[in-house]
Amino acid sequence: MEVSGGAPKSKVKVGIPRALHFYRYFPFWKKLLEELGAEIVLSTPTSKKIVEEGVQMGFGELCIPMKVFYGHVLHLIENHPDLDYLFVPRYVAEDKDAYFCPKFLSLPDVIRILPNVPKMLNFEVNVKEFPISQSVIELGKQLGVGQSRALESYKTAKEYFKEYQDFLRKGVPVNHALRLVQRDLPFTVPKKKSKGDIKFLLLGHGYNVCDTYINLDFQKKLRDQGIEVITIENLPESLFKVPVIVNKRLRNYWRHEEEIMQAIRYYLTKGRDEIDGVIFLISFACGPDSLISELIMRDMKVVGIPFLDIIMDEHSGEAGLLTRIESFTEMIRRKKRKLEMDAKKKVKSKIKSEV
Amino acid sequence: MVQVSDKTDGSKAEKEAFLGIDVGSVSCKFVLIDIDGNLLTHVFLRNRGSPIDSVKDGMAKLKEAVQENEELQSYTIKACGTTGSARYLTKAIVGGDLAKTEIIAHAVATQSMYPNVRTILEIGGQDSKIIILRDGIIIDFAMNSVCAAGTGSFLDHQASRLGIAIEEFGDYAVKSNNPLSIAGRCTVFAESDMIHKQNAGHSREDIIAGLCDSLVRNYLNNITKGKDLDEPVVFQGGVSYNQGIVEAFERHLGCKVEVPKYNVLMGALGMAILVRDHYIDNETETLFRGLDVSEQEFKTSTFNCGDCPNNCEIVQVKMPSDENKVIARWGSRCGKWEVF
Repeated sequence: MEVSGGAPKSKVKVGIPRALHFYRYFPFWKKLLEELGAEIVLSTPTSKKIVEEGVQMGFGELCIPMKVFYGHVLHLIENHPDLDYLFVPRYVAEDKDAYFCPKFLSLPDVIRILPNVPKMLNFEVNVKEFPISQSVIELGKQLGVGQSRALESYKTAKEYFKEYQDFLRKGVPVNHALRLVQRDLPFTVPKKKSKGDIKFLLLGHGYNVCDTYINLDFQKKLRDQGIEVITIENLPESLFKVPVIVNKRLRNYWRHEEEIMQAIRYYLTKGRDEIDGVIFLISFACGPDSLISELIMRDMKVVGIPFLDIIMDEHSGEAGLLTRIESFTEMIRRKKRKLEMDAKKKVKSKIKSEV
Repeated sequence: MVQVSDKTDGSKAEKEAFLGIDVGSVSCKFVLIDIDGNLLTHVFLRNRGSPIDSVKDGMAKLKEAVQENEELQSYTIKACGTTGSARYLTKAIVGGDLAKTEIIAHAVATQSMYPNVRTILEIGGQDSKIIILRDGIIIDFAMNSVCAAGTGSFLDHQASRLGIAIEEFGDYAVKSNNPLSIAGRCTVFAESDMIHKQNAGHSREDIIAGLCDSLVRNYLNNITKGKDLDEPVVFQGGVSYNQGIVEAFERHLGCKVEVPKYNVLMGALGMAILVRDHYIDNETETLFRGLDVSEQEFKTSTFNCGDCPNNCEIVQVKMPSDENKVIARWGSRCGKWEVF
């Protein structure tokens, strides 16, 4: 394959839809595919056109992020007819006792049947059945890369992904980090703008929390109100090592939901005073989220952390969303102010009585 | 004539007044209070056309009310606050000093009358909400999301279908001895259920009582799920005029449900109180344009941005009397048009 001196062989072009697992694994995929000699073509950020086309293609009962995924695939098909492959990996299980949502399990199959879809690269993550290295070797084969180079690429990609995750844990917003990855820029922590007076933990799947079109730029709306926002990607790795047991008979077996529950467990106990409120962004029709949202709400009530769940779908109105955010924020600020004033009064009366 | 503070010579008008405006989905409320929070006058009107027209109408009515009352003419409006779903637009038009959400405004108004309130139920024209308070602090709230079942608009529609004035709707419910069971989950099913019961010969009283009961069940299932509804409970918003609903709430909650005197004005009243406090804390000059806003002309226009595939529809409001200055603009996803 490797011809020295001749014209450089044009790289294999692989299209990646900027949706769903993109917000979680893109840095890993990018490094892996590039190491395997491919060139990556990303769809543009979600736009009105992408949503409209995706909604038309997806059937009614799908959640909005899934419909948006269709829209991104259609965008790639329409705008990049020269794609050699489409990369839609199948994520089944990343660890031994948790699954991804069933919709992720069948994702490559439902995309494969779209009209004019390019050839698809097979890549399956299912550690219950086989190690990821085996999937990487299979992927390498499809791209004409031998086993040892494939394994070497896997190692490089894994290291890069670890570096990326550590970078996020320094409190960097996911979208900022993803932009650095796209442009091959080094992971330097941006200068922190002035801290907000209150701090929220924003829960939810990356594709809900970070897709600024679908969530009506939710994080910016919070920051505009002077709020410091952290997401689960920013939390220390150690929180995600302890399994959450809701009760002995009920074991949560969804990967993403398990992470959300693990994050919240920390704030129920040790981290109680580190945040002022929790917001959970849920997409309409998400079964797993609707279940854990109820559990989280009950927990929050016990410890008295203000909790707001926001359900989004393609008809989400800006006004309704803003009213909820503003009310929630104002509620917390008023509470804080009142507690501070009460504390001051106490001090004053104490001083008086001592005099 | 109520004057705007910066236009007075300070001698004639020294009593301070504060205006709260609540522009909701169905109606528009204006409340004028004095510095002690006493209600001086109010205006309530149904929305017509755009919120801009409704606000102008309301301001005209408020001006009339002031002209007819000599006592009111000695007051000066020191600050004006807006709330409701059109709070930012209204703020731009009248020259508001503060805009807050309905949740906060409602809670503040209710606390001014019932300092110990722990639960506020509010059902308006197109939305319903619940606010939970403990020790004088709002600790939780919820609003209806996609479903408008059980709000004022639906009751309006059903009243006219049954040939009853909406004002008498609740009285019919109270007269019933045998409330029927009506599907309350969804208004579409509720309506067909009601038609079945009508055709089966049940009395209007029993049907209406059943409807009130099902709407309360729907509210409790959809809005208040999981929250502790403790006494004192205050019920406000247009639907609280309906005695049938009030009694259904009392039945389901097993406690007394209070309906405040100004049940439909609470948002505007709360906003007037909020802006009064804001004025006391900051002592800033008001931006209020005065009651003559009703005679001002505002021009709204829309255009498509076209700078990116989102092609957002931008709405802007101009004021021809002030060199066609743009006073409000919204609709862009990226926010770039909001700066002007």
